[in-house]
Amino acid sequence: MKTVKVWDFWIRAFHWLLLAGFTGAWLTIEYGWMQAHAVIGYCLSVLLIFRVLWGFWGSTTAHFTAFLCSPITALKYLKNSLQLKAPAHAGHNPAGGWMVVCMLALLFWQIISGLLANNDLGFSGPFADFINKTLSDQLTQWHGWNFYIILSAVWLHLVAVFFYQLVKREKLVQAMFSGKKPNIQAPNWQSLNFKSNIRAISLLVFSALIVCIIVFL
Amino acid sequence: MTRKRYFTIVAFLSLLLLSVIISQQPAGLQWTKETLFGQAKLQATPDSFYQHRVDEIFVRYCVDCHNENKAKGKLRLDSFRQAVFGGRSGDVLGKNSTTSLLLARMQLPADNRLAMPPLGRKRQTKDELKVIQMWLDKGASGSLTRAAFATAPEKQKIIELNPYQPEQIAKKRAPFAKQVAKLQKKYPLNVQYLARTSHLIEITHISSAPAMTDQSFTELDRVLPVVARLNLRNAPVTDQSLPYILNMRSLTYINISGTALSAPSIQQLIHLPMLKRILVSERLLQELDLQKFQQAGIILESVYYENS
Repeated sequence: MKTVKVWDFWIRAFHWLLLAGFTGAWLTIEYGWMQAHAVIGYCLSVLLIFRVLWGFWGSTTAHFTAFLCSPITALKYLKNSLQLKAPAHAGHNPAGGWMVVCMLALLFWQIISGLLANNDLGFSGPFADFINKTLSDQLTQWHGWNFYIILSAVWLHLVAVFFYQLVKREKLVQAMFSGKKPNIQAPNWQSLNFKSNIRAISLLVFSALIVCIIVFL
Repeated sequence: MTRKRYFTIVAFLSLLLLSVIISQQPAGLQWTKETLFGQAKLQATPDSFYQHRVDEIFVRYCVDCHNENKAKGKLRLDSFRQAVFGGRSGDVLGKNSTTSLLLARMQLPADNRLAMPPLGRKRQTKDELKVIQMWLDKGASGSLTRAAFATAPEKQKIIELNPYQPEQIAKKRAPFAKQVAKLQKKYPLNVQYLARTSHLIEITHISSAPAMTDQSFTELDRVLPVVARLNLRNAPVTDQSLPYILNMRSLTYINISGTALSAPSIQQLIHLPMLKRILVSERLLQELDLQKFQQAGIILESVYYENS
C-alpha cells in the first residue's frame, strides 16, 4: 500500500512538544518547581503562537481554513463517523478541527491565566502585579480549574484517536510520528502543499520574539 | 474491534479513571462513605478542644491562604473536616505530632523556604504550637473536649493593632466626608470622628452647644450608617427621632437618659445589629422587657434622676 505525506515536520513537532510541555507543566506544579513551571509556560506560549501563525501561513493540513467548518457539519460528521460511514480526511476531519480550536483556546486561556496568577509564596506570573490581588487570586483558581478541563479534553482526544486507530483502522498515531498515511485514507493528497522549513523557522523565531518582548520587556 | 466493544472499554476505563481520581480525593471518599454508606458526618463537635483552641490558631495564621476560595497546596484549614482531608502532599495531620507535616512546617525557622506561615506573615507563638502538638498527639480528634487536654497552655488574649493606613481611612470616609464636614461646621462640638483611624462618628448632645433636637436628625440623614456612638443625654428629642436612630446600623452605644423617648420606642432598639450598650432613665426600666435586651446581647444600664 502506497503511503503519502499528510503532516509536515512542524505540525508533528508541535503536537509532541505540546504533549511534552503539558506533561512538564503538570509535573513541575505538582512538585512546586515554580521557576521550571514558568519556563515551560513560556515555551508553550511560543508553541501556541507558532501554531496559530502556521494555521494561516503553514502547510495545507495545518491551515485553519482547511479543516474548520460549521459546527453543524462537524456534528453531522461525528454522527456518520460513529456509524462508520464518514469518509477519511487527509488532515484534520471536521470534528477534529473543532477539537484543535477548543484545545488551542483552552491552552491560550491557561497561559494567560498563568501569566496573571500568583502562589502567595513569593512566586507570581510576570503580569500578576498589573492587576489587583483579588483578581490575580481568582485567575489562579481558574488556572487550576482549567487544567482539569484540558485534561478532560485530552481524554476525549485520546478516545477519538483510538476509535480511529482500533475501530476504523486508520493509523492516526503512526501518522503523527511519520507524517504519512496510506493514500486511500488521504483523499486529495495530491493537492496538499507543504511549506518550507525556512518559513516555519522564521515563524517560530517570530513567535519566540513575541513571547520575549511580552514577558521580559 | 467493534464499535460496541470499543465504547464499552472506553466507558469502563472512564469509570476506572474517575474512581482513581475520586479515591485520590479524601473529600470525595468521605462524601461517598457518608452518602452511600450512611457514615456519620465528619465534623468537630461544638465543645471539642479543636473548636475551642485549635481552630482559632488556624484562623489566625493559616486560613487566609487555606480556605474555600484559595486553597494553597490544595489544603484547607477552615474546618476540622477540611483539615483531615489534607492537601496536595496528602495527609498533613499524621498519626501524631512527630509525623505531622503540618506541625513540621509550622516549626521550621521563619526564613526557611518551606516554613508556614511563610516569611513576612505573623507567626504562631510557642504556646500555640504546643496546643497543636498536644492535639495531634491525641489523634487530631474532633470530639475530645478540653478536659482531655488539662495541661494545655492557657488561652491568651491577643490584642492586635492594625497599622495606621491614612489612605484607607480616607477612602472609607469619602462617601460621607462632605456631609460630616458640613455637620461639624454647624455642630463643632457635637460631631466627631471616633478616632483618626476610624471612619465612624460620634454624636454628642452638649447643653452649652447647639442642641440636638428631633429637627437635627433630619440633617443627619446621609451619615446615619456611620454613626457608632450617640450620646443624647438630656437632649430634647422625642419618639420622632426613632426612625433615624433605627437606621444607624453601626451604632454600638446610645445614651438616651433624660430624653423624652418612650419605653416602646426604646424597646425597638434591640433590632440594631451592632448595639452593645444602652443608657436609659431609671424610671423606664420597669416598662422595658429586660430579657429581650439580654437575649440580644445588649447591656442595658439605667441613670437615676432625682426629678424623674
